[in-house]
Amino acid sequence: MSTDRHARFEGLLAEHAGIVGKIAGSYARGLEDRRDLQQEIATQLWRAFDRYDERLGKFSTWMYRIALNVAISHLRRARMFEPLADDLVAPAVDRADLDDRADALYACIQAFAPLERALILLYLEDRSYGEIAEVLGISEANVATKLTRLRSRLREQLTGASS
Amino acid sequence: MTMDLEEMKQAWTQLQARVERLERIDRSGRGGPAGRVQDALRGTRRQDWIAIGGWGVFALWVGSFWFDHREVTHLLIAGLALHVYAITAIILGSIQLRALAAIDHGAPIVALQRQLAGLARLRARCSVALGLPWWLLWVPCMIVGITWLTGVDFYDPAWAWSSLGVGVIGLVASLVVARRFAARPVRSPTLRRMIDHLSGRSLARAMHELDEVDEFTRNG
Repeated sequence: MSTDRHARFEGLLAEHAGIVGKIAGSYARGLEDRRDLQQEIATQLWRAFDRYDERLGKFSTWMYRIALNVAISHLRRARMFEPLADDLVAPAVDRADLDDRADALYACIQAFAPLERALILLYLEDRSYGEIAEVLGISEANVATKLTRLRSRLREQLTGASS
Repeated sequence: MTMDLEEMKQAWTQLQARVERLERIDRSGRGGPAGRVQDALRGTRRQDWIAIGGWGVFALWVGSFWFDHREVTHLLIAGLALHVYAITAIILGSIQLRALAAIDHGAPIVALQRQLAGLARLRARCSVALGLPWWLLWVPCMIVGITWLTGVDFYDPAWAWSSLGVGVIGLVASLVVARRFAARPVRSPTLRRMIDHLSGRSLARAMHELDEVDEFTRNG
């Protein structure tokens, strides 16, 4: 692989590092695990980068697919259903209301099955139904149906967590 | 604290800042991913090919062994048993390698997860198919190995049959023990994997994952 391609990959990875970070934070259970998962995602992205064709779709869509696939497999492999990443949930620099909400959100997402977690994560990332359907490989109608159900579950959990 | 869906999305968006903070901490003192990625790539390919190559060499060697000793029935049978095993290992290894090569991590999530669960099911079946016979295969292995190393045919029917009997008992016992330990915590990852394969847990897990994907794909 050429140096140009390598540099381009590193650039795109840095530009979308937030996606990798949030996905790793949602599927990993601790600082070390999150780092391992991020590394695993980066490895897989690099491995698949040869087959990425920008004419066929946005880099972020392609990246979501790979990152979520790796994260789901990682979760399944490790059977990690324990509490989520302490580092991502706890060490708030500015301990504002936002952090409490984010912590509550992470804790609720944790309760979802791996595939549902991917769906809710994409919804929270404000992706369109079309893009979510493309990433997951299900129909837009199915995305809409599932999201209606998941949103109400999420709302119930957040209400339950706050009471 | 209560939060509606819009606030939820807002909180999620603003998580970006926290993630970026952690990213900065992580990046300090760490190199880019590329070096490790390339190492991992090379390592995986090497491992897969070494296994198949190893069985290929073994099949050639044991093939020449039984051909050279084809007049001696027990050496012919022992050699043939190992030869059949080696060819089976090559075939199953190649099937797994092909399944691995077909995996595209850029595929939609449900498609890839279905492929991965299918691969896990294949691996679980292959591991049992290739692992359990060793309870019996060590007998022809000893016969062939000692004859090849020393040139002396040490075959003794009483020893061979009693060893095969012990093998059968060991095979059954390993299945029973694996089922007993299936639900217990085991520290060693290798032992855990072995127990899961023998007890059928790996297969059950793979089937469950396939069901989960099918359920998710179903509309409504």
